[in-house]
Amino acid sequence: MPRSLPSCPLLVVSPLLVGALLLGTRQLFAAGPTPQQLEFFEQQVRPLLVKRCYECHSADAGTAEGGLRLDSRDGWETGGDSGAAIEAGNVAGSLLITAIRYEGLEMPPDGRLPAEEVAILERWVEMGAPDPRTAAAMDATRPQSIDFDEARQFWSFQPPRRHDVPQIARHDWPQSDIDRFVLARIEEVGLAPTDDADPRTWLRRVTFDLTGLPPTPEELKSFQHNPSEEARHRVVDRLLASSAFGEHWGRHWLDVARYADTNGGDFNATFKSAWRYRDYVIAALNADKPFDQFVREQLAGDLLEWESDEERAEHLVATGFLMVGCKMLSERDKEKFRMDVVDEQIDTVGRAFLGLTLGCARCHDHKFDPLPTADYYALAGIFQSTESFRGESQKYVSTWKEVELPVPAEVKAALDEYQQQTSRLQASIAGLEAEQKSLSDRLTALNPQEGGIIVDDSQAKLVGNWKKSTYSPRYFGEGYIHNDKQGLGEKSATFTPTLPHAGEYEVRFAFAGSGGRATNVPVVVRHATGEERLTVDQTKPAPIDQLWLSLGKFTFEKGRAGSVTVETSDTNGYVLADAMQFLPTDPPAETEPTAGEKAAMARLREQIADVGAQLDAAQLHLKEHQAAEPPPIPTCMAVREMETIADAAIRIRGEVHREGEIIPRGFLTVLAEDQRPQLKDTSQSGRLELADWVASADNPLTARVIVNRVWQHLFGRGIVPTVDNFGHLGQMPTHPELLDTLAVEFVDDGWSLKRLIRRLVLSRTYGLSSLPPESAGDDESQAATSEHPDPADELLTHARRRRLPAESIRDAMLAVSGQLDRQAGGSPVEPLAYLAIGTSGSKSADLKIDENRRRSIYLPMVRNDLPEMLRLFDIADPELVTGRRPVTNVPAQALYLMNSPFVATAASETAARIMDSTTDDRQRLDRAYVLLLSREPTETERERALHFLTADGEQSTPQTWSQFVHILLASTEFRMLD
Amino acid sequence: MNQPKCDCPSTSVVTDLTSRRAMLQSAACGFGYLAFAGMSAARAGETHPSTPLPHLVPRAKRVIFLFMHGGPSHVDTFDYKPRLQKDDGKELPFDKAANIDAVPKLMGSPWKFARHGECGQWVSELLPHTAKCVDDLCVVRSMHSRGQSHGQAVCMLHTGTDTLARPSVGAWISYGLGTENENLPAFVSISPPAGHGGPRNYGAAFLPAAHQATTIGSSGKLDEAGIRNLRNPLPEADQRRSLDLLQAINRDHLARTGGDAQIEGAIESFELAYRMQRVAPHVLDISQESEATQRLYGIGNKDTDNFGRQCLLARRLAEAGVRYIQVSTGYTWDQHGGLKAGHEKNCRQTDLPTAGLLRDLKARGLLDDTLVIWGGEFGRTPIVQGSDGRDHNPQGFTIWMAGGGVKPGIAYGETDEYGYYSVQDRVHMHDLHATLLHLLGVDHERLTYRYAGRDFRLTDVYGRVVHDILA
Repeated sequence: MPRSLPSCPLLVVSPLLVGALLLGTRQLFAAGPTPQQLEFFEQQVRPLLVKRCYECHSADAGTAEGGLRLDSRDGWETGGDSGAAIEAGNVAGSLLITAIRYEGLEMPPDGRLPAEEVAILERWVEMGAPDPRTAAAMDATRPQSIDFDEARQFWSFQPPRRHDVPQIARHDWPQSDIDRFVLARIEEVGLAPTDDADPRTWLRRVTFDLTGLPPTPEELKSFQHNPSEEARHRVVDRLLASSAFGEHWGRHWLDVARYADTNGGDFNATFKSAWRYRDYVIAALNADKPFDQFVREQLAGDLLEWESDEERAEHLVATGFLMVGCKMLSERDKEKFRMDVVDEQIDTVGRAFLGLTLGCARCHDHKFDPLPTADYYALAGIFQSTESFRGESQKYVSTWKEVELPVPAEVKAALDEYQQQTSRLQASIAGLEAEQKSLSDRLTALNPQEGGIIVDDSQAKLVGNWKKSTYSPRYFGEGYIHNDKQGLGEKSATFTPTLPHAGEYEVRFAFAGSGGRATNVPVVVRHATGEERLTVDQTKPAPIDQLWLSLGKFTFEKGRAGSVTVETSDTNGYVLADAMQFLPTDPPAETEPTAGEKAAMARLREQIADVGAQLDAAQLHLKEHQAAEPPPIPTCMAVREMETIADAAIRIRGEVHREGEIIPRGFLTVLAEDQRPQLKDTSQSGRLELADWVASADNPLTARVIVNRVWQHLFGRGIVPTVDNFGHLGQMPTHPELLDTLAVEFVDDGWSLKRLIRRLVLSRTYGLSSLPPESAGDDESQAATSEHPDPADELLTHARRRRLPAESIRDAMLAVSGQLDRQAGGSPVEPLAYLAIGTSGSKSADLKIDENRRRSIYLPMVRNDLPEMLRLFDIADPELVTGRRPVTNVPAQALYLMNSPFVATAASETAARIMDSTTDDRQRLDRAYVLLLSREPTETERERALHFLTADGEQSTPQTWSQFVHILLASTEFRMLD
Repeated sequence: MNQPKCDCPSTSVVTDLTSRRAMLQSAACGFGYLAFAGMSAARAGETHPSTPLPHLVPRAKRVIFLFMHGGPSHVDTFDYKPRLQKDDGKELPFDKAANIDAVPKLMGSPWKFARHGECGQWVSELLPHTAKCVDDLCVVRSMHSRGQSHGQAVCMLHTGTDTLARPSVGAWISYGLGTENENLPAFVSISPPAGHGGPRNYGAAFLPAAHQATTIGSSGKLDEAGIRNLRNPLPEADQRRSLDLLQAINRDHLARTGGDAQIEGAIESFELAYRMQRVAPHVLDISQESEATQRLYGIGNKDTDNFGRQCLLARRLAEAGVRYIQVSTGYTWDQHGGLKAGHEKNCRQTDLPTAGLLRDLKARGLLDDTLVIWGGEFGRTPIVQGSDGRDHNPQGFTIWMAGGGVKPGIAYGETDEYGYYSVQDRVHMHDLHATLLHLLGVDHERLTYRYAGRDFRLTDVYGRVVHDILA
């Protein structure tokens, strides 16, 4: 952080100390160092460099931080990321010197050098930096340049191609080419696929996989009755056509899109309209929107052509993809904020669509993938020319601007008209209120008997810094003052009336009471016989006219002897002071108003009443008007083009304020044939061209990455297991030819996800049993030896047993209990304020998640406060792009399953449903097993369960049934797909 | 700022640790993850002779971090600056930090400082009880960090980054060292902050979720001091009977599969959870402590009761084998105005319990291998905001440590003569993290986790162990 410190005298003086040497030294430098200079170097400079700098900047230490070495002349001449460290002879212009002076860079980082040492280095630079250390090699510290031709040979950067179907021995086994590719690998190692899963297992698997819900007993019965090939096709088509499909697969995409309904991070702002993006994703999946179009809309929907308002709205909402990430909104360095936003977007686009960790290249060339920093900043220019955030919601805290969705012209016109009319009515009310107030003040002034003596805050004697305000609409005079909750004990306001006569007065204190004020405002009344200390609660409106509070009756001397002081010591909220009124309790006769005054007062009273009536009418009118308020124009979170479109400068080491070369906007060099592709139209940000480039059939990554994601969700593991990383640190594909062939087919088939899924689930491979084939053995010791032909269990000889995702566990519990609410879409965060979670705690209780019975995808995703059940069962952390969720096994899950009210309620509701269906416990048991586990119990299970239900020979009861169902809900079988 | 040294991994640098973790996450182990993590620490020597953890001889077995949320003023507590007192009201003679609201006018401390203990260190009258323990403290007066706003600085303190979602300190420690008590988690956060990153500050991010903190209470309030879902409404015998049937059903499932690590893990985690239900309430029940002990922490006194309970609970958890325990005051220290009243109240509430904790740990011999850390996300400016306030100051501030492996009775590092910028023996937040891990026997450069193709560390590419303060 650049800053200046108190100048140390030696620092200022030091150039002068060596000043005498200066003129001569430059000439000497040209001729090579003199013996005296070399002696100076050896005695003063070298030890200092060794002691202070070599730890981080030398070959011996094996480090060259910032790319800089100071153990050779070449080292500082070549310099590091920031360029040459020393310009011989130029003290002020040498980075080394500014760094040790702590101007800009701060070196050494653990503390400033003593002034004498700074002076030595300054003197050395001043005399031309004589340095005999010339031999050391520099190559170890300079970045290697990337050989792109070689880099492009990596499998994932090669275009995918359709491979010939391999030769196989078991010709009768495959049902599709997918099976042939899989079988070939299995046969290669001398294994055979296991048996097919039985029909109920297949149906349960495919129903959960496609919809996230269990099959109903009726579906199960019908399929078991006729588990034919045609029946399987019908099941798959039914599931793909159900709205539950988009609700399940949409969630898979939302994991990748790190979707949430609030910002999280440092300042958890509510994303009031993020849900539109969620609903867009669900609808896109249900409509089988071609994936390339899905990509284009999310990256550049705002720049696409449209034919209808609906289409335009869809496009705008889709760009919410770029908005819903977690940002550190309160970052005060707004340039850093801007680059952090850009980084988050680049990183997300890289992982989500391309399976590349582009974020690594922000600070340096990617260490393992051919992604140079220049490529990163070519993309950064695109996102830097895109507006995501604008303005501040409060000081230092960035915010975004909602984008209006298109509405028919008449809707817009009606809304405009409504708003204009509202303004007109409000203006007329304000005018009437001002008039009424002015009349009242005049009346009060004329009427000391009624009004007594009033001392306004403007006449009070103030100690400390009070703030004027008119925030609360009720006040006397021009406004009121408050202490801003600061300077407690120091601030006070003293009201001193000029009383016309001695006697008893009622003292009234005016303040606009409401929440947030102090409950314990100290007030001191100084009267004729002493002083009285009172405490006033300002959290509620005062009883008289909602403004005045009587402090009691006190005797005062005539004139300015008495006073009332409002204090602030130890107050626990805002302290307000508006006015103090002194009402004589026994007004003397001589103050009787004159006839003229009386007449004037009567006139004023009439006028006040008249204005009051008008005001009542106007307010009623406004209320009626507002009752008919048309719905506001819907808005969404969307990006738009920045006013200024520009290329970005490289930030050296990712440090925002250290700019390097400017890089023309473009895409990734390694995915091009030759040079980095650049924009055709530089007048736009380039997002549209980026979207086309990502969504192109020629992009070797996009189709492979999405096909692999789909594969993972159906088979429990990707063909590339590291689904978000197709680079060198990702894992290699287990079936590269299959992946490529599927990717090519996917593109040729119009990027249809539903048809891809259909092909996969109708393969024989998908329908295998999860028990390993006999030949592979189920003996653990054998499985662990290296001789096992499939040691990593990756050849798909059998299905992979999987735990259901968190949403499916919850949704299934609701489904079997008959409580699942299938209402779709809409805002989940309506009750939340702008700040979803403040420092004092969560407002999420307002969301009543425990009472919510809708599908989990519709639950509010409040970052930092995700629904407990989903969080426990490994929902994707929306702060990260998550292509593959972790699956954990922790006691907190067991505690939730055993003890949470949610599971207990689901159990009792399910139990009630089962008990209602029949009175026979055996039939009830069958029903329970079919409903919860999609199968009938074995005879052993039946006997054991009956024993549990009828313990001690008692009748089964709703309690024992509820406990039993609770056990099934908590069982591993309920939450796993065999 | 330290120049980043890139530690993106060379491909061979996948530590044994990583592979061991990978193994236990994916298969093979018949234990729930938590149990395994605990076992790995307790029995590492027997079962994994090549295990790399701890990397070093640990000086501390556990950490109690007392988080002063909001940023206590160092120039009013531990960093005595005579020059600031002298120049009260004068113009700051150098630039203030960017993006703050304080004006460049110096404000002397309204509190008196005095030397305390045999070491003779300065402590202000705000902390009379901590002052009596000063011979046990290692006061670091040259802290600096990132983040001019609370959100950034709080995340920086807890996760080592002010920008991205990264695992918290406690999660790293849980991941690296596991728990000492298999019936309790390794990382407990007592009344953690809800805002300024909230759960991010005790989360696991990309580490396995088991490493996130178990929380008790929230936002500085202890409430009922419970762990969620710990209570089962059924009588114990009924619950055991239910559990027996459940486990029988699960074991049948396991048998049908011919062995499945996930099912096995689930069976074990039900047993663990059942044991936790028995053990945890006992540990959390501070009423079992003697009256004298409770008094030591100020329990029963209106001002100190809340924080005292939290500190005593921290000690009980430490004793029971929890590795990393954080206690948070709630967001109370942010005195942009009302410094006098605010800091006096905060100190009244926390000073005695803090000293009580130190004394109690010492009396039980626990201080030798328990590292106690006291500090906020930043300090406060020596310049004034409003009439009676100080602004945020990540540029220089003070924390202290005590116990497990740090030199007692010393002060380390210095800010400038006004207490604004850290200038001598500077200790960055990354350095504090590196030192903390070092004291636990962990080399911060070798405790890594591979995520998204990179090996991540708590200290990113920064951090150096502050050897000068190690005992």
